[in-house]
Amino acid sequence: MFEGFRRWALAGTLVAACGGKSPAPQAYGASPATAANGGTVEPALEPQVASQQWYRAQTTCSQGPYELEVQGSGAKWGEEFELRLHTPRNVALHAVILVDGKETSVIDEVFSTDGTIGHKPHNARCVASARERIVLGRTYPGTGTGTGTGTPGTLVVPPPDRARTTPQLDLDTSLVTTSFEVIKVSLRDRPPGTPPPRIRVRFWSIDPNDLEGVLFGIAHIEWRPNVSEEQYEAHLAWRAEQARLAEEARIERQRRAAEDSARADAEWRRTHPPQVVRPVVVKIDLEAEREAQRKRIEDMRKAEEARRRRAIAAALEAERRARRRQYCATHHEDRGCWGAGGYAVHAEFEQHDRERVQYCDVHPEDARCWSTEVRNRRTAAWKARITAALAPPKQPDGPPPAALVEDVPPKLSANAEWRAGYWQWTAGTWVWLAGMWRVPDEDIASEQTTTAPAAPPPLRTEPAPAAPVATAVWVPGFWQWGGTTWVWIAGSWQLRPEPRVQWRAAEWQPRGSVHVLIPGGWVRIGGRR
Amino acid sequence: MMRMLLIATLLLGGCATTWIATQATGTQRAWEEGVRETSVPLPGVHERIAIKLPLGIVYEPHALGVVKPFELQCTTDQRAKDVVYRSAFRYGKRWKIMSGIMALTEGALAAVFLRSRDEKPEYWLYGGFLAADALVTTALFWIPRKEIYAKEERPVLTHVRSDCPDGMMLSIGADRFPVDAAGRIGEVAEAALDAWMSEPMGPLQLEVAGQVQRFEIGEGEMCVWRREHHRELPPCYSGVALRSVLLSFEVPVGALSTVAARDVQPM
Repeated sequence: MFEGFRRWALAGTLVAACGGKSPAPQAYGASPATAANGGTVEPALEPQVASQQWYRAQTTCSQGPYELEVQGSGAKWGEEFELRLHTPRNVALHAVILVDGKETSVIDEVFSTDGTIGHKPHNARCVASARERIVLGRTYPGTGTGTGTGTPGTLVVPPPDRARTTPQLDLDTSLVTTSFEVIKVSLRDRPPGTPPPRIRVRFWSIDPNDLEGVLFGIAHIEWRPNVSEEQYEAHLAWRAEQARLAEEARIERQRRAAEDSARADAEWRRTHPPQVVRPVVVKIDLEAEREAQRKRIEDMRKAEEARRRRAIAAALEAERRARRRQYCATHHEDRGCWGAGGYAVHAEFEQHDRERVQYCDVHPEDARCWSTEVRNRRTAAWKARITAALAPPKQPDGPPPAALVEDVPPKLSANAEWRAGYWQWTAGTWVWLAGMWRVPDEDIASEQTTTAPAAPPPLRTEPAPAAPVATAVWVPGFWQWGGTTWVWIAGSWQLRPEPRVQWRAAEWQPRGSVHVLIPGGWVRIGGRR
Repeated sequence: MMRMLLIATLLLGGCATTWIATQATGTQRAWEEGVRETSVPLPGVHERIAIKLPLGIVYEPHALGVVKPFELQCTTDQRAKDVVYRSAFRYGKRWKIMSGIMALTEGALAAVFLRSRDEKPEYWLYGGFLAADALVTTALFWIPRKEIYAKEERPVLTHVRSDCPDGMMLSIGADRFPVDAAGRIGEVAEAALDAWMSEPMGPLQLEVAGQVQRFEIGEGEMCVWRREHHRELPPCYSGVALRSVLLSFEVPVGALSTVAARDVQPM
């Protein structure tokens, strides 16, 4: 009676778990639990966001490395930590999660706005184009500048001993509606008494990311029961008891099945008494046996005969060849022996073969002399060079160094964009690529540039350093109004953005009571752009 | 039946006719048998590397629309001469068997055609042709065996390698860029080359094994480059169909055909 009731209770619980209604699961009191609204819920662990904070980078273009630290709570039922991303454009990230200083999760991907991976980062305004980089391809000293920034765009190898700035993140309190997980670490089943973990999430990119509008979030998720701790623990105890009972029932079923089987076996034996086994008489056909024996002996004799014939044939062939050799040795004119031209020509050919060997002995570099093995070895070596050249470039082992502190010279025009300096991964090393202003052509055309209350001082005489490439054009330095004082912007080498253009030097032109900067720009030969 | 014979006739083609054709075209070697040939390398090897500068864009073979990085194409080979000694028989045993069988077959076919009851004019034609060919073949059967012994100098071109050797440098104006084994020059050098093609300043030259040569690139070649890379048409369009510019260096023998110790691969 009690056993049957227990089965009903278990079945009811399962039905309830599947969305049905349990007839009377509270009969045992422990589980399922009673919810606040009086209904029943299946006790289970549910993720609950313990904390989530969003951060934005202080600089628009940055490579990191950024680091976020969060203290774990040592939650009893487990906890997770996620680096989340909200981005309006594709962003490359190399992210690592360290638990108590030990690296546990790594990812290196380019994420799109919806979290899909395998795209190209959208960071054109943060990285120098190939044309910009070409003028930086050779290290040369700046020619002096009022601001001490160095020639804009100068490549610095190795990194100079300059102040560095650790990239920082600012807390962002705005409501983030869309985000996706970049990387996470899950900590469950930690031994009791383990101190709460210290989580560090470090992330960076090889090239600077365009981080405008990008938010990085660190989420701490705790697994908690959806009922009270006591109820959940009672539920676990109840489940353990259920499992124990189910196991007992299974063993009981097995025992009964074995008993039934034994009973049925005994019954069958009783109704089917064993019968007398009749002896099997095997008749041996002695005649057939003798025939088979005869056949075997005959086969062996034939095989021996064939072997003997082959041996005789081989001996005869050897004898014939020996006689042939003997004959040929004494009949130098026989064409059947020596081919066209007889022995004389044959000897001549052998002499030529020797000449070839002698030549190749002293000319191993001559490709005609290479054996197949030598040729294959060399070809493999040369093909391996091509394979190595086409192999993907070596990736950095860690994040770039902290960014160098740059003094941004005064903005040149209303819509000029500052492409900040960054660490460029080149030929297996980090090199610093200094920042520079990118002045749109439209600003130059519409004179939306800096205005100054007076004319600038006379231009400095600036010796141009050696051109990094012959096609580079020297862009002379000029005075820029910094708001209170004049700042000398040093000259630099630039590449033509397109053929048939020339550099028009920067100049200040009076416009009524003020002077307007006409920044240097590329103009078509024979007309203004 | 006659159709089968016609096909057989066409397949045979006429033994004597074929022989006459080989005599006329200088391909009598086809009849040689028992050929023995040996070649002795002559000194005077010329090692040469040819470098091709493609003017057009090359696309990745398995990625639609993806442009391959610029690559110089290098080919190293050796040119030399061999003395080739050759001995052979002409009209030997094989010839006798073949021409004998052919003469009999052609004669039999000719007889069938000529004795056909159909008396079609084309049968007379085929039969006559086969009869004449069989007669000449019979005569050829009796040509005495000839011994051939020849010696000739033969030019030999041996391909050595297809990678670009160590130390190759591309000079664009005053700047030098290394060329890797695959012929790639890198993004920066590509940009410099592109700028040079628009406005050449200084020579465009290549250094290989201590030698320097200038790429002869004129307005036409630059125009092709710009047309391919920048879709420029007028006023640049020149109509030049050039796809590449070639440079060739003669280097000491072994300069490029020797494997550097570090490149040796264990077999």
